[in-house]
Amino acid sequence: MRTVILKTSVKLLTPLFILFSLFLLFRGHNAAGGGFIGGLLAAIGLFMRAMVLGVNNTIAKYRIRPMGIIAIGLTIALISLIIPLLLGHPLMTGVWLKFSVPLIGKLGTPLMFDIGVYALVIGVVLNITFILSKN
Amino acid sequence: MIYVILTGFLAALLSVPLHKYFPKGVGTILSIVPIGIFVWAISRLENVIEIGYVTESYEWVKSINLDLSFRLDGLSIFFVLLISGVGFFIFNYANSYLQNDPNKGRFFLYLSLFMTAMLGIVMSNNLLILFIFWELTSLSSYLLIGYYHHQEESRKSALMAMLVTVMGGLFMLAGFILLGIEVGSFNITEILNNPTLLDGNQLKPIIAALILVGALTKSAQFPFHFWLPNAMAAPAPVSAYLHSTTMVKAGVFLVARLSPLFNNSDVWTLTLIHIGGITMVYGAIIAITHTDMKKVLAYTTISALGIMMLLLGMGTTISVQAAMVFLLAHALYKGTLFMVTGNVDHEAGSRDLSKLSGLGKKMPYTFYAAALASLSMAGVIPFFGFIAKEILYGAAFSSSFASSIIGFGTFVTGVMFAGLAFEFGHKIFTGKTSETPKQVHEAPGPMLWGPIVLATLGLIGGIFSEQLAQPILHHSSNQILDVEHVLELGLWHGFTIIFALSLLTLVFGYLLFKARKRLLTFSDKHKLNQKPGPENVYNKSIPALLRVAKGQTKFFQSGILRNYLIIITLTLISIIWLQVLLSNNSIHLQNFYELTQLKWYELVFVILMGIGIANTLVAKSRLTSIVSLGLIGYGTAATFLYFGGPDVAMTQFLIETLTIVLFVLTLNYLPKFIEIKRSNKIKLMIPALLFGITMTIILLWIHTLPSASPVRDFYAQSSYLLAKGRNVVNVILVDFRGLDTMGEITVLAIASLGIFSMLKYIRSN
Repeated sequence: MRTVILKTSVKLLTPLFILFSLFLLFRGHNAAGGGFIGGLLAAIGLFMRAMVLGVNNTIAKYRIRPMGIIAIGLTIALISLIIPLLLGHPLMTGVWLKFSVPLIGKLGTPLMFDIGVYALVIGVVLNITFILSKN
Repeated sequence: MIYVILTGFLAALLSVPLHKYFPKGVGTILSIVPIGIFVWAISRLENVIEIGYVTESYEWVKSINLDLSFRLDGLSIFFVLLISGVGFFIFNYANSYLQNDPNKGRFFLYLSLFMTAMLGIVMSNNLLILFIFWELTSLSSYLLIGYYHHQEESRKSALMAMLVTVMGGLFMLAGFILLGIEVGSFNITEILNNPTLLDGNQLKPIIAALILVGALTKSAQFPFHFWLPNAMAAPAPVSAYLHSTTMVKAGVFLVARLSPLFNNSDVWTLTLIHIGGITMVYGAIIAITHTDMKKVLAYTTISALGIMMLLLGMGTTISVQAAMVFLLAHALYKGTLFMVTGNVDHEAGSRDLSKLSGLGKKMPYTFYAAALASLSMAGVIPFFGFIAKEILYGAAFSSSFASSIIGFGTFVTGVMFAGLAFEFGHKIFTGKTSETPKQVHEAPGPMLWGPIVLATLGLIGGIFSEQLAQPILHHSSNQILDVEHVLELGLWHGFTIIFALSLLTLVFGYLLFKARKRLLTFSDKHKLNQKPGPENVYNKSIPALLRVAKGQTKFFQSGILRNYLIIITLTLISIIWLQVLLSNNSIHLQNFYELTQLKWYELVFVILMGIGIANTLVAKSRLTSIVSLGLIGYGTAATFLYFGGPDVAMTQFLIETLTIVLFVLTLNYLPKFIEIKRSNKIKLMIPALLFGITMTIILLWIHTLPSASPVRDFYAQSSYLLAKGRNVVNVILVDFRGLDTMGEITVLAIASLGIFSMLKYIRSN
């Protein structure tokens, strides 16, 4: 099953998966997509690579530690909740920058929160699947 | 006032670190706090007496009218003085009593917390705040009673005290909430300023009863009294503080506080008179049958609390005044006697009244304190206890209620108090020196100050009652009565019937003391103090509760996934149908014909999913059934996609994929595939079919309802205007309902940690 064609295509496909998942993440605020879906997609892409090329290989190549990603995701989400507090708004108020960035769009705390969700979902899925597939 | 509370909490916070650096003197250092509060209260006294009451308010949780609101008036300042004044001595006393205890810092943490909570109760001006502090006293007393946590008895007693008082507290909370709703305010000042607000309200008796349950459990009234003697498992300073001067008086305080509102309600007054009266006599009788010093004191405390409840229930001017006078007298002598008991226990190693005697030579100062306190307890002229007894008899015999019964009850109780006082002040300290487990010597200084000062106050307070006690007691009783009545204290009222009764009390008390030995053999022979009582009900009901808990856990948490699903679906179905039947909307499916206009690709989905279902049912291996299930999932996702839910569809596709991946990965871990018997399959199909049918009907039904929903319109309109996003689903997830999402991702993270460690564990084995 692990043919050369499959291996090569997976190697090429994984970055594409991640890129597309990022696309989904950033367009989420205005069109179908978002942190949860994006995270799932990225996780599936990475998991597919791990299945074909091995978990350890994937971990080494992408330098992923699922637990670390979970922690980072949760922290980003938390910070995004606290930022409005520092600016004198109630907790969790959406705060947006005045200008927008090309390709990504407007930046603000809801987007940051979504990024946190995105990271956390990747971490959780990989955490479970990696340890299951190590046997 | 808020600074008083904050200082208390700060003291609690500091006690453990302080103990680390000053292991010897932590209690002495911390006793600055109660004495500081005492001085503060003294400085406010004049102001409070002049104005009537002062309040202070800080906004806290506005949506439920929970303000950090405090009130200082005649009643609360009396309690503040009592709590902080006695507290000062208790802090010093406990510091010596627990001299080399390694957990002393923690002890002072609990004690400071307790003191603060108690101050909070008496000063709060908001019913909800009062409840919070009330529960805090339950919690901190639980920690204090269970301080010797390595002893099972301690832990059991602590739990008992907490369960009983917290149970009462919950009733009380219900009463408070009802009261707040009916009156329209949780503010005590507002309620007290309009005591007629509840008059004629049908709920008044219920509110009164609910609040009384809280007060009666906290003040250890019959039949909730049993936790108090058991709570004697706590160290002596705790007994002295919690169970004589403060916590058990919280109930008395609450009754006093709310008296203006309820004193015209029969439920309130009759309950207090009956329960108080029964408790008064019952406590005194049981006290006679015990020989353990702490137990005896505990039962006399119960009896004394009964007296106070009775007096407050009678509600006449003189009875309310008597309640306040007696409260002060009791606090002074009972605090002393508890500390004396602690000294005897600490230095002699025994607390058995029938075995101890002649300790006075070795413990002269303790003897001095015990003698003074006992004289006050017996009601000997010129002690403050005498004044209390006089006014108590005066109140009992002048009441309009069946005064002869009440009067006789108080007299009997008075006699028993006097008899027991002889034992504490006379028997154990004089006569031949008895053999004791420890070499007796006098207790260290800080353990003597408290008893000596409090006992001496009982004497001075009696002689100079007019100057010392009268002003404050006058204002506290007026606060309860809500009318101006002059309280005059004095030692001499001439040769009246009351005075004759006082003398008779002492005579009978002495006779009782002499006959005590015979009484004890009689009570031991008939096992009077071991008769099943309310405590038995508690002891039986706790295991029963645990059995019920175990049984229902076994039923609901059987550990079999299939059963969980059955329970969940059946519950959901019944809730849905209950709601449908309760709401009068009949189900009519007028738009049903629209559903018949099927498109060909819709039919394809239906057929695909049908094949999936059929295949799942007959599958001979796990892998097949998983893949067939996946087919159903993908079919559903495709349906979503075609009917305008791309977000949901995308999520469904990804989740479906992941589910299959996870199933395949876990296949190795699962036991061998067992095909379920045909009969069982049919049994399982019933809830499944019911669920499917229910959901279908409900969805069809929803389709016929008018589609304008305020929630939907709100999100549709505001998602771009308020949250700057056009994707409503995403905006709801990250913005409008962001807190939910935050909770969900946290749960997800924790769950994945759990799975991680579980799988690691499985692999390591």
